[in-house]
Amino acid sequence: MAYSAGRQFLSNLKNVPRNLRDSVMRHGRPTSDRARTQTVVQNFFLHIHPSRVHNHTLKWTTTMGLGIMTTALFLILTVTGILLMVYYKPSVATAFDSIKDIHFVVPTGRMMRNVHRWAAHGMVVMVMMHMARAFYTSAYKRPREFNWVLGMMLFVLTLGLSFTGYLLPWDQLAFWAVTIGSSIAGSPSEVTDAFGITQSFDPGGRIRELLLGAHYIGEEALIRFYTLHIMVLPIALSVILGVHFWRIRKDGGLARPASADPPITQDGLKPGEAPDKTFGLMAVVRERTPATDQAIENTSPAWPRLFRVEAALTVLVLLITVVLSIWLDAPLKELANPEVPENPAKAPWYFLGLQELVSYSAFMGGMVIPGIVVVGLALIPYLDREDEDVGIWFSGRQGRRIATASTVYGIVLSVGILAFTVKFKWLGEWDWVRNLIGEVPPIVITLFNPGTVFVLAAAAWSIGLLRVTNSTRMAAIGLFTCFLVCFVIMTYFATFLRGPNWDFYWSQADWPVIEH
Amino acid sequence: MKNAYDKTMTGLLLFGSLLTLALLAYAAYDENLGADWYHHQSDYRCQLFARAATDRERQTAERFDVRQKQLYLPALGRIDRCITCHVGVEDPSMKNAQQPLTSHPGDIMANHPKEQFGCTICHLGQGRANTETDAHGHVPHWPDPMLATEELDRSCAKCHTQGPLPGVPRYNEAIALFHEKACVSCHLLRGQGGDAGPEITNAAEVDHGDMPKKEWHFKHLKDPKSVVEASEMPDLNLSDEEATALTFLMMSLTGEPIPTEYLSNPKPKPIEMRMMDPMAAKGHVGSQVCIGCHQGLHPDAVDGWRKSPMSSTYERLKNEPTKDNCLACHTTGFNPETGHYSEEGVGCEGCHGPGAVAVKFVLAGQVDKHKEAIRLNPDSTLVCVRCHNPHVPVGVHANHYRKQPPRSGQAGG
Amino acid sequence: MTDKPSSGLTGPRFEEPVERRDFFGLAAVWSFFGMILTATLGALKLPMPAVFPEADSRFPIGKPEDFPAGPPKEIKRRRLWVLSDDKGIAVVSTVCPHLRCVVTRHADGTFVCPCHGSRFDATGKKTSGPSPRGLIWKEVSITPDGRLIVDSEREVSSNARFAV
Repeated sequence: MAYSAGRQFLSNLKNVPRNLRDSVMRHGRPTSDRARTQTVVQNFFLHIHPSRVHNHTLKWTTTMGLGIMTTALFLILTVTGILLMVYYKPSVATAFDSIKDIHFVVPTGRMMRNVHRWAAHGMVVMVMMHMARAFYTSAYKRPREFNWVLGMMLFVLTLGLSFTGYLLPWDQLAFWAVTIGSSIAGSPSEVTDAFGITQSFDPGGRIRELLLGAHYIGEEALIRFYTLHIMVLPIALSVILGVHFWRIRKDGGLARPASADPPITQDGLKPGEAPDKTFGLMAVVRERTPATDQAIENTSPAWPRLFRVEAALTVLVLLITVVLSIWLDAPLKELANPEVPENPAKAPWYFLGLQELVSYSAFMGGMVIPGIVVVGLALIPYLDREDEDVGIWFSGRQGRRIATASTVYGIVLSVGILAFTVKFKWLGEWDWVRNLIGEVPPIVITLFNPGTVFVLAAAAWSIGLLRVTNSTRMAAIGLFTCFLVCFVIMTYFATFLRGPNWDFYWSQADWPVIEH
Repeated sequence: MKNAYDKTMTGLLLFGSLLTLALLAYAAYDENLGADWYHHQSDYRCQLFARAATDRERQTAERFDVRQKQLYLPALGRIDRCITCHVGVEDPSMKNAQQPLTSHPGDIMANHPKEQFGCTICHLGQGRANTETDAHGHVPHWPDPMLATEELDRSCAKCHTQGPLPGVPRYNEAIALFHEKACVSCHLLRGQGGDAGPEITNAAEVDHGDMPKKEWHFKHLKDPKSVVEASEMPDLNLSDEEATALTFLMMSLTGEPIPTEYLSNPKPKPIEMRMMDPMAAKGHVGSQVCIGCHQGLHPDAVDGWRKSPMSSTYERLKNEPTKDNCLACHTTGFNPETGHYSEEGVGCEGCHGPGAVAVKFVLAGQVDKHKEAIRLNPDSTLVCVRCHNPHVPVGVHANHYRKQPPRSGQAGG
Repeated sequence: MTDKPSSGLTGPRFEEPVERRDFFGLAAVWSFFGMILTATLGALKLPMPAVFPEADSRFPIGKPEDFPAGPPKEIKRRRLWVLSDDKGIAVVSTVCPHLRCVVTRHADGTFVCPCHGSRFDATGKKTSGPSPRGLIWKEVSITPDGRLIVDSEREVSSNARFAV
């Protein structure tokens, strides 16, 4: 017996590698459909994927891979962010120096920081484009309404992550951008000031105190931003991202038009194929799924097609961030100095459209308009419940025409309002208004300024479309397009055409030179 | 089943991965073997081996590691990585080598070992950087680029507050002028001096809008009102050369904290602490301020006071355990409630009364009021008998006060 | 789990190998993993510091003339004793090789560890106690401008004095 057990032991020893592999991957090589399905569903890391994926989903025009690229960027940000935490010291005295060290002497530190910076910008862009894609292909419609809301949360969290990260280098750029950004958060004071009740009721001031932990940006603010940036927001984003993915599965994959799946008649079903349907393992999901009422002819195993796409797009975004990182260093200006303001002091680029609006009215531009935009976006699936086909860009030809017209309208409107404001200023500076009523009360400016004019004009356009087309979907396309175009133009305008003292300049070369 | 989309993705995966791989490899090379400092250090190491004749020299060469080097200077709050490229600074045989391997000229490093002082305290520049352009600091967003060689003497004044020093005539001239014009009469410098004008501890850091700092200081010294309309500073009648010298000194006042052990003439701490108390100095400006003008007006009187026991009377008792009983008479501006005083010894204001108001008048050009504000009628003996008490003769009073219990709240005397 | 499909799931679709991977696809997969591996190696290099936030391990202690033959001199900040006699200079670390306590030098020239009582003679040789060995001698070298350099990370045998 002992001899036999010994032999068994030696044989076991010999077979350790194979048995280890088999116990880890409890299925054969993914050479058959069945094994491929198992590859996905039995792997912890892959099982958030469907085992089979619809061919329509894998078409480039369906998603342009924007969601995958956003996720890839988040992964890159997580990895590089954890690495940067090894050397970054979140304190006013040491933060700037530690970034200098990361740049100059930490092995691969410069590359990691640059990739982190570029990936962060990229993620903001991608998440916006992903949202636009989901909107224009009606992907928010029933049953995916709440997943759209989750997407909005992810959008806000992404902006929050990017903004909190902005302060951490503790240089002039960081300090003054966050000064602007946190003041936007405190803009309700404008309204309470107008009513003269700020002394007793100051929600704007409270928000700022909560954010900064003081009345200025210092040690407290840095620690708060750091905690938000490395822990609170990433955890929240990861959890919601998980739910976002999970709901895609539960909603039967990505939105696709009815035409993507020719309905299967009883005749078309061959007897031996019935068990196929268990492959989806989605007996309880709602709506159209490969498993319930569609044949699997239109689907492919997720392995390898979906994974190939994911890997390829991950490589694409990594490649882009690495190329940018090699040639363009993440900015690092002088050590933060509360005595010497940057001029112009600009918020991060994605808030620059807001900063332009804030230059008209802090409360309208900083709270009401962005509030309307975020809440309005979140409510789209609940306000537009028309039962029409999904997964079609602009819902067809009419929508395409309306999107084009709205783009033109949005361009004319935003450029017109900006040009008017630059050329003629606004109410408070017009002599004839002053002669007429004297000093314009601040509350009038708050209610009536270029920002509110734009919102009203866009709303009027949308209501017009609603009446002409008799379709909430078309009205939504009009409104969404107007705001998107306005966001792009405002951001461009505030980034490149606003100079010192927020004055208008055709190019940065015209900025007055300030020597020290 | 495989369609064009799959092929595109496979192609993207293949070429994207290979391209990224190549770029990462390039970045790794660029950061390590391709770095400038790596070439400089390899070059230096080769030269060490090439000239090594003895075993000991060979050992020195072998012990030279090619790696990033830095001077860790926690006392100065600096890390200087200059020696990552300038590896030959202390090697006399590199005297004729090209930069960056050349040895440091002069013998200044004998008194200023690099392990204690580093490089950027004198040369400025960006110590943490390890590439030439960044380290020399002539890059955007670095406020302190390296000083040109002819400007280097400016840095001496950071620690050498008194002068004179050998080999730096411009510094010596500037320091001498600074004392002659008694700038600290009105301007606070590192916790010493008057408060009639703005503090100058960090004069080189103060921003003057569009005007370059050097130009501003020169104009300001030549004619204060030309740059500050409401300036109360008197015209110092400086020649261009003198104004240039003082500008040079102003530009050295960076206000950066220098640890006491680095100062050439550290002031004793306890006095500084007391002078910092606003109550103690209230109304008092310190003899230095008066002397600023009166040394020139009637030097005999000032020198007479200097030689008299009045000026040094604090020295006699500074080691006494019960000296708190004596401060009322042996210091100037003593406040019995706080126990603080403005100056050790009996200075100008000990007899003439607090001078702050008087200084304001003289700055406003109202010499008559200045005289009025100085309280003393020279004939009055009241001021004298405050301390020179006839009942306690000079010879025995020390023993008298030593017997008193230590002062508690109220001053003796 | 075996590779064999269970009953009911039969038919050509399930077992027939589909789409053998071509060379192109394999190359793509391998280059992808190669790239990820390279990036990971780079990332793993990051936590290994290139420079240390502390005084250099090689540091000057002075010129040879500062250490004439005679009684030893202490360099307290660096936890060293410099022994000097006519044979040369030796630098002895006062960190006990047992558990890194700092030994004290007694008037008779011997070193005693306060933690566990190891004793060493005047040159650092162990005389008694739990220490596995004598006090460590650090390497001394000389710079081109003639200053003695101690390398606190390099050990020499305890009779290799640096001849001046």
